[in-house]
Amino acid sequence: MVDKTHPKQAQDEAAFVEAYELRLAGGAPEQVPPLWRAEIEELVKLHAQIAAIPLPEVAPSVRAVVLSAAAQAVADRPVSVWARLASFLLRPGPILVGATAAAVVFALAVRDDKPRTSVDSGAVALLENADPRAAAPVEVPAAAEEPPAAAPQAAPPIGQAAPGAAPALDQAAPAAAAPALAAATAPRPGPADKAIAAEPASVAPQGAADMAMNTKGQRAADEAKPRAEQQAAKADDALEDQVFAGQKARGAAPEPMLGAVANQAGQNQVEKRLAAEAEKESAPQAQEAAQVQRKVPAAPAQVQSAQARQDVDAANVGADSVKDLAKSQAAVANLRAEIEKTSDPNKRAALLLQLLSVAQQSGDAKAAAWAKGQLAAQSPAKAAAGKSAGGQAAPAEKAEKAESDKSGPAKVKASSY
Amino acid sequence: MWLLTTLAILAIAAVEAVSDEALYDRFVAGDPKALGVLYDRHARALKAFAIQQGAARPDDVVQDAFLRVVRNSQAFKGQSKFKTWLYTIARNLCVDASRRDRFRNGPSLDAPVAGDDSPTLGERVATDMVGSDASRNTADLQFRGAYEEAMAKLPAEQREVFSLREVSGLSFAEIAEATGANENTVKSRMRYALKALRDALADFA
Repeated sequence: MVDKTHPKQAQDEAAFVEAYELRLAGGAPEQVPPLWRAEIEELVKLHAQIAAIPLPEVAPSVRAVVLSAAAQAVADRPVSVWARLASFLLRPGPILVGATAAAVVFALAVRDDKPRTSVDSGAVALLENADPRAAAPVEVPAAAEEPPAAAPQAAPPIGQAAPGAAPALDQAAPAAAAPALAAATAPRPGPADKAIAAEPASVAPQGAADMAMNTKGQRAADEAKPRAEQQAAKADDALEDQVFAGQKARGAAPEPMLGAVANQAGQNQVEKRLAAEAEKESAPQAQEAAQVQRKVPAAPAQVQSAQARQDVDAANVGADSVKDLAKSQAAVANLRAEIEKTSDPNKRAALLLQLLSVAQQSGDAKAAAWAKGQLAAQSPAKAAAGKSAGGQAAPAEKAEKAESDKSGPAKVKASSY
Repeated sequence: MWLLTTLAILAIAAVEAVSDEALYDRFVAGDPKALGVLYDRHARALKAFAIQQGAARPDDVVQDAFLRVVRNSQAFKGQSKFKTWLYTIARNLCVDASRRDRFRNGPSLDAPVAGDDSPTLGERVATDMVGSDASRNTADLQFRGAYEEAMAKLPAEQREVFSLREVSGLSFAEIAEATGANENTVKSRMRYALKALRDALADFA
């Protein structure tokens, strides 16, 4: 269609139409140029009359035809799943359902945002700051299947439980070391434990699991006590058998002095063997103490994990001194109990000598003084018995001699007798 | 409760305010009811446009226009408004129909349909245009008759522009796009159409 209108004239006509549209849009008559004002006012009235004419109705069959064709087209057309989903979700029903669900979720979220108590906050903070290694799946360490000698190198990392720790504890645990072991494995009553103990298990499942782990470690330490006592009793029986064996050897000797010396020699051998066994057994014991300490994650809190690491380090560093101390204390306690139970003066004197020797080796001055006192108290009766026996030396003198032999530069061995 | 009520009102308002293009997208996505909504919005104005363009069967124009919308859904790229696309289709249908009717030996608009006292075809078309409301008064009938007569006398380009602007509500830019003419040209045609109608309907102003 060719536009034959002059440009200038076209601009005027366009300006007139724009003024007419402005007037129809609600503009004031004064906004219309005076030249066109009267004409535009007449056109506005005509526009109102034309707009009042109702639109013609369309035959209903046309609508039916169009909608059926639309339905057919939709049925024939491959529509993607996403397009169908979008079409479904944009309808009023899904919109209302979605809005309702969003409102419910929002209301629940607002309801859950109420302030927590201090206990809740502490427990939640502990759970949030939990050592991730504590939640790691429990692995069976290779150390559980290896011999005890290789166990220290194969110790599991902190936070992982060692299933073989408890059976290893059963093998050697002197009674004197049991309290230290229990103290090393017991959970530290730090703020983390307090918070977890205050938190119900249903509210903090992770804290409950940690509490269970703590209880497990404590139970293992508690179980180690009677077993260690049983082991100590076995050691006492062995010691007693050895003492009786020494007495038997003394009785078989032609000279009472030789019998006493043989008894002393037998006691020394028994002592050395016990010391060697205790040393062998205390090595895995110290290791197991560290393992039990590792096995007890106590709480997921970093504070308690750090405490556990410190304990493990202390157990590793002082393992030698602990095992020596435990061995000596066990021997002293066993000998002292045996002395108090024994009524036979000879056996009592032999045990006192052995106790004195062990106490001097371990540096237990109290036990050594007690042994000396007992020997001194027993010496008058023994002196008389010694004279009647043909010059047998008094126990006090023998104790002094034994002391001088052990402290002297040229130690005389029992085998030289 | 007030929150749910507010959300429901907002949802209903959002559905009511869905544009023609969004409805057509839903139809393309597989919702035939969306096309029903579009039909209800535009069918009557489209028939009025077809009548003013001199279509012998305005309902057929409406039906064919919507059927093309249904069948040529892939042709609509969304670069123009759905309304502009629909009226472009209807305009082309009217042009094709006028070309067919030009070579057809059809009855004259001025000849009586049945007998000598029956209304002419032109009067019947005008009656169809204004509807069959029995409550309309005589003045309105006279105005509508004069209006349709004045519209019939307008040149096709001016009648087309005036109908699209006053009846269908398209903007001048959309009319220019639908007719393929310059916007200023469209406004010039509108200006001449207004002037002719003002002169023809001066008695009713």
